[in-house]
Amino acid sequence: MGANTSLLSSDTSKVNTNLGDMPESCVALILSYLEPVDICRLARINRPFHAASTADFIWASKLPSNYRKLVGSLLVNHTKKLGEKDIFARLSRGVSFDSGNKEFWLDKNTGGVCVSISSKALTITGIDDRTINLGKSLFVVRILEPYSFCMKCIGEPKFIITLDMSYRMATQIDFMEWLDPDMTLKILTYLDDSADLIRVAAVSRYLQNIVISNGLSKQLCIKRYPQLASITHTVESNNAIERLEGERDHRAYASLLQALTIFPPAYCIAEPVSASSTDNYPEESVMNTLDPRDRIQHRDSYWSSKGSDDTKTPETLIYRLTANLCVITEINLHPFQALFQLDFPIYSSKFVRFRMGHPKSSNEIEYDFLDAQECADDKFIWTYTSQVFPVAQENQLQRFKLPEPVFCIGGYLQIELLGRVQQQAADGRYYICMAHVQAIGCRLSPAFCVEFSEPEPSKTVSLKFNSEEFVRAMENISSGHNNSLSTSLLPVNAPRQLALGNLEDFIHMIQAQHGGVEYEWVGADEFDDDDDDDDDDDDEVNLGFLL
Amino acid sequence: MSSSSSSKMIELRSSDGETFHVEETVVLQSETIKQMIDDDCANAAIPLPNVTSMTLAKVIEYIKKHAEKPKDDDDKKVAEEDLKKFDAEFVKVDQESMLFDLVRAANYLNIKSLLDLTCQAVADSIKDLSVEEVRKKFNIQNDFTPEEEAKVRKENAWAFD
Repeated sequence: MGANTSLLSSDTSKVNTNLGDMPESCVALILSYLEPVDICRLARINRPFHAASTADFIWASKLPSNYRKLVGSLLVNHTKKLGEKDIFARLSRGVSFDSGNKEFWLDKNTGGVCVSISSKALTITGIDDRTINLGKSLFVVRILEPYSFCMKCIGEPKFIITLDMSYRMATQIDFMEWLDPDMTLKILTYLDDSADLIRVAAVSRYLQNIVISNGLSKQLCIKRYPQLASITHTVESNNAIERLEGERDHRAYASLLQALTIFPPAYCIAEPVSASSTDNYPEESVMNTLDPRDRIQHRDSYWSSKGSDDTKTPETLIYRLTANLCVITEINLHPFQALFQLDFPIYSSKFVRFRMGHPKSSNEIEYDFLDAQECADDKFIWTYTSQVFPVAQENQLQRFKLPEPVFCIGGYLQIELLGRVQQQAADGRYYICMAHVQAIGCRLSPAFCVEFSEPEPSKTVSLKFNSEEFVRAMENISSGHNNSLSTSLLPVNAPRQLALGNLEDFIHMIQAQHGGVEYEWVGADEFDDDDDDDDDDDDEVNLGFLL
Repeated sequence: MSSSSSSKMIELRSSDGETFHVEETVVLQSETIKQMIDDDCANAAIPLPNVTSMTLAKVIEYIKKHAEKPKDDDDKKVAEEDLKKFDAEFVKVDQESMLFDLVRAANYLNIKSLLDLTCQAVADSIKDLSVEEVRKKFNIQNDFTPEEEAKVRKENAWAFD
């Protein structure tokens, strides 16, 4: 206890404490929160301030973390050991190097690293041997804090990477190597174009190492598409060379990013898997929603739910996509308008929500849910759920653009139709009917696909990269086999044959449903048609056909 | 001492003789007091001769707030925001002298986060002031001889051109 006896006893508490009463270490600490220029100004206040302002720890915190290395390579003719404050003063005055083509200095106010490169030194050779002459551009790169990085570029906007490359070409010092690895990593994480990242990795072994060992291409992928975080492995299928994990990851993710910018948009629905209910199967099967045409062979083409008394009863439609790895950008729905009913009701839903995911087990979905008219909702794990979009009660294709493109890992899409708006006059029940459904996005197979471990799919998910297919796909695109989005690419159902062979069956079916009351629909289309709207309310054309 | 360690109270005595009871877990934020406890010097009231009761009350308010543990992750975000607000309000003291008292107390008690916070606040208050303004505002004697002052001015000239 003796150690704590009062040196500054209670009488000092009566005097107001002031800045001048701070111990020197506290003054130095306070100064360390100020900018270099302020510190120098405050050094002039009095002796304790002057002494505090020369503390090495203050200036070390203002200097870039690798300042010792910088001093070693830039201030070679300084043999005298410099204090941190002197180093700062020296570096802030600027050092030119590379025969005066480049200059390095510290920003006096912030301590940020600045490099200026004269236009003479700015011819850039990229990995694809593209030479860009930046003319009179002047680059000033500043690394203000470890947390922020900005680059001023007067003239053509191009990234630091190009600068780095020119640097390496022109001199034997790698600009990035100058900065400490942390800083370099920080800068590289600001690259948001995969092409830049790939180019950087090709600049030098050092940079390649940073890009690969930190999984930057994967990080970039996940930053853009959070769904990709669920991928645990990458596999390169057709490659004899056994690559290290990091390199394999880099190849796969970098190619994936490239594919995403280059692969053209496509229609992504392959086939329906199930509908939560179908009023009349197969006439009103969800299969009909694939075909963009309203009518096929004089018959309306749509899917109809079963009727419900509760407007809240939801319906779900599940579709398999054309690839088990897709990036979906928008989903389009066309609610069905029953032109054969009085007042032409449109059986839209109130809202819609989309989910994407993969089957719980690949065996279970081999079952034909459509034919069995069963709902397959519980056979899937939905890894993405969209917001809820309102649906208009209009007879037109309505576009639902997802806020961000979404990776569908596993290749299944669920459309959840929420809330019913249209009552059928005949039975007073609510129905939802869809004439057409589209999903638009980027199909990544066969260059990329995903594989789930069985039986627990969530355990490992591998991204399989096929470089040969990737190269082939890229070539196809560049050689102009560019299939732009046109409705002619949508799957079209083969026209249903209602000709002679089927006619008899058809008549039987109608008779069975209507109890053989042909007369009803001959004359009085107007008031009869709604007792069973959705089963074959074929209009007069069909009647003519029958007669 | 039958109570569990989590509720063990430590007694602190300020320079003007007031005593404060603080939970041990809270007071451990002070490296100085932690050292004393580790050395088993904390069985009686710990005298803090450099810290007035007013300052000590403020310091205790700070460490108490910073000892609150968020329950779950959701809570954590809210708590972090809350703590930021608290810190911002905490350094808005009526009298500048209080801030200096806090710097000294934090330095003496060795509470790093409080020292950082208060030093930053002082730094903010002297930013952009001229030499004369600082001397005046904080009542600091210019103890340089004219020759010395010229020399200091010269050695720091690089920052001003």
